[in-house]
Amino acid sequence: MELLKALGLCVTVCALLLALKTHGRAEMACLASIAFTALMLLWVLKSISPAVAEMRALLDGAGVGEETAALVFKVTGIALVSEFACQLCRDAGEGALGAKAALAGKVSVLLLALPLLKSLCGMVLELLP
Amino acid sequence: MNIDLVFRIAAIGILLAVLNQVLKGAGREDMATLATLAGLVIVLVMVIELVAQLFDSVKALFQLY
Repeated sequence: MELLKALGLCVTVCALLLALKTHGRAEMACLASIAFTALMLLWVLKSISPAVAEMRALLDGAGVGEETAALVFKVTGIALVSEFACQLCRDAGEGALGAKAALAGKVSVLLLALPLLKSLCGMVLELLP
Repeated sequence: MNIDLVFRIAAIGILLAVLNQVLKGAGREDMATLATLAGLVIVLVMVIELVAQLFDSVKALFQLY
């Protein structure tokens, strides 16, 4: 039921933003869209937090290393936030800025995953005769 | 899900549009631009507050430092 309410709100706010734009208030419409996107993401995060706790317990049980599990969640968080910024920049018409935001997200994920990559290569080298 | 923030922003936007027309009609161009800027700053502060709250919840949920 909560989902239907959220989706209905998305559609109505779209109409509201369009009304603002046609009134010649494009900057206000952009700010309103930023606000509502942030609100929707907040709502999604609030509804997914039990699942995250569950996954964390699952990962611990599966014997995955502590820092690997933390890495998985960090990468997900970074991806979420950089996606949020990138799409908002594109909506406002700033394609280049959006691309740079996405690039920043990718670079930070790469930096986080480097030690894992190194241990993976070590493992592979050990397996080779 | 406090949705009133978005409707407040939209209301400020529309009010500003009307205010602009009224001030232009009264021949006060400078006041119109000032009113628009003031409204924009108010809405910007509200949006920044909301985005900060979003980033805090992401940081808490995914233990990003």
